[in-house]
Amino acid sequence: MRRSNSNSDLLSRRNFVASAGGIGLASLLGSASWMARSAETVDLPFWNGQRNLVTDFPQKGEMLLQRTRPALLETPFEVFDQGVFTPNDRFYIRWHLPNIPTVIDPAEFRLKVHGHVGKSLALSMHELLHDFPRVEMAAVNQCSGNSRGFFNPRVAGAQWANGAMGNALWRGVRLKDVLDRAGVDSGAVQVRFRGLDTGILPATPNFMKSLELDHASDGEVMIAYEMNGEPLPLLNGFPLRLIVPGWYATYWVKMLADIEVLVQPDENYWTSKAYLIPDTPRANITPDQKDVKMVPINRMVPRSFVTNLKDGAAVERGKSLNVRGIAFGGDTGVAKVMVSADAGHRWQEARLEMDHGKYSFRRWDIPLRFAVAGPQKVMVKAINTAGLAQPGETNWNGSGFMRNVVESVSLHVA
Amino acid sequence: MRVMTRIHGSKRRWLLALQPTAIGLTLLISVTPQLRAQNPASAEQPDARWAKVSVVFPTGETTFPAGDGAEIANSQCVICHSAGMALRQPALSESQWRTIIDKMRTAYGAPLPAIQVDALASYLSKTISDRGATDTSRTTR
Repeated sequence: MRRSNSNSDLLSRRNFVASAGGIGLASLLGSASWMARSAETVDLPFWNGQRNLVTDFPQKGEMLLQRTRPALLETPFEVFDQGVFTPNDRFYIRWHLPNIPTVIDPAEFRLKVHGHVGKSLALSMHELLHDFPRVEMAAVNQCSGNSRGFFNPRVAGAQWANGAMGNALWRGVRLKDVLDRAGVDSGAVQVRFRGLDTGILPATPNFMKSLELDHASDGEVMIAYEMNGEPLPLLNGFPLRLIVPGWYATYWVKMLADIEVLVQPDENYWTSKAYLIPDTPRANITPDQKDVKMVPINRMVPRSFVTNLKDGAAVERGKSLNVRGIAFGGDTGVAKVMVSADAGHRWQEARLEMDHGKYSFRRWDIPLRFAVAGPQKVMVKAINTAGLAQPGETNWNGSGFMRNVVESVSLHVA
Repeated sequence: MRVMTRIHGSKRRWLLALQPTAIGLTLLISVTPQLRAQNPASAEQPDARWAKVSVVFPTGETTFPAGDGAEIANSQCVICHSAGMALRQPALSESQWRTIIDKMRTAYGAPLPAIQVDALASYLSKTISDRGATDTSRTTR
C-alpha cells in the first residue's frame, strides 16, 4: 500500500520504473505499448495517488494522467515554477462527455447566437477575427475541484493534486459585443453556453452552463480564440472558449458553439443540479451536516503556492534562501502575499513581481533564513484586494470544491 | 482587459514593412505598446492560423481487475469513461459507491439494471480498498 499523509507537492516523488522489470512487463503485455512510453510516474501525496506521466495526447506535452477517456490531465506542479503563464501544451485538461470532436475545420465552424434576441447569428471565425474589437486578458482557469485529493475525509471525483489550474493570456472578443450584435430582447434573464462535446448515451444531458445576463454582458466575459498567442489546443477548447474571469472553470465552456439567450432561469442538469456548493462561508460544512442549502459554484477565492521548494527538502541553517511561488486573488487581484518560515508564528511580506492584471497569477519571491536546525515549515498566504485572506483551516464539502487553505511545505533545516 | 489596436489593410502592411528594422520596432513599441504581443503572422493572415485540426486520442483500453462484479464494470462503466477514473478513486464504502452508481443511472442515463447496483458497488468498494490491497491507481488508463 502506498500511503502518504504529508502535505507535500509532487516534485520529490518521481519514481523511475523504467527498470528492466518495468520494460519487461510492458513487452510481456504486448498491447500495453503505452507503458513503455510513459513508464515514469508521480506519487501524488494521498492514497491511490500514483499517476503516469503521459505524452500521447494531441498537442500536449508531459501530463499527469487522471483519466484517458474523456481526457482528464493534470499539470505537473513544477510547471508552475517556470513562469507566470502556463504553456498551452502543459495546461490541464478536463472534459465531462466522451464524444469530443477530433476534427474541427474553422472554415466550416459557426458560433450560433439565438434565443431571446432580435436577430439570430451564425458567426464564422472570419467574422469573429475581423468584425469585433479584439481584446486580451490574463486570467486563471481553475477547476472547481482542484486539489480534491487533499480533502479529508476523501470525496469522489477527479482526484487532482494542485495542478488542475493554469494561467493564460486569452485573446478574443467580448461576449457583450456579440450579444449586442444579436440584440438581446427585454425580459431576458440568463445566457446559456454549449460546446461541441456530447454524451454517448442518448439520455446523457449535453454539457451546458449559464450565466446571469448582467454577468454575461459585463464586458469582461470573453470568447477567446487565442491562448498565449496561439490558437487553443483542441483539448483546451479549439476553436473558441468562453472566458469567465474570476469564476471557476466549469463556466469556461470549451469548443463553444452555441449561445442561447433565455427568458427563464436555466434548469438544465449541469447548471441547476451539478456543480453546487453549500451556501455557507467557504462552502464549508461537516461531513454529517444535513439539509444544507445548495447554490451554483461561482467566484474563486485566493490561493498561493511555493513553487521552488520540494516537500521534505533539506535546507542549510543560517543561509539565505530565495523562495518563490505564485498567487492569485480569486475574483480580484492579489494585494499581499505573506510567507512564514516558522510554521506560521511570524509572517513576512513577499515581493510581488510584475502585475499581469487582477485575474492573473502573480509571481512572488522572498529571501528566507532558517535559524534553528530541525524540521520546519514554510507557509504562504495570499490576501486579495478585497481583503479576503486564505484561511488557516481547510474547508470540506461533499464535492471537494473550493479548497483554498494556506499551503505549507515541510523542510529539514541542517 | 486591454483592447487591441486593430491593424488593417495598408496600415498593417506599413507596420510590417518597418518591423524588421530596429527603427521600425522602436516605433511600433513606443506608439502602440500592446502590439508587442501581436504575432506578425496573425496580423498578416489571421484566418490561416486557425487551420483545420485533426487529432487522435489515446484509447482507454484497460479493463477492470478480476473479481465478482468485474463483468458489470467492464460492460457498463466503460461505455462513457475509461476504467482509470474509477480505479483512481479513494477507498469508498459500498453505500458511497451506490450513490455514485445511482447518479450514473439517473443523471447520465447508464443502462445498468437496478438489480446490478449492489453487486457493482460491492465490487468497486472491495477492489478500490486501502485495507491491505495494493493501489489501483497507476496501471490503468
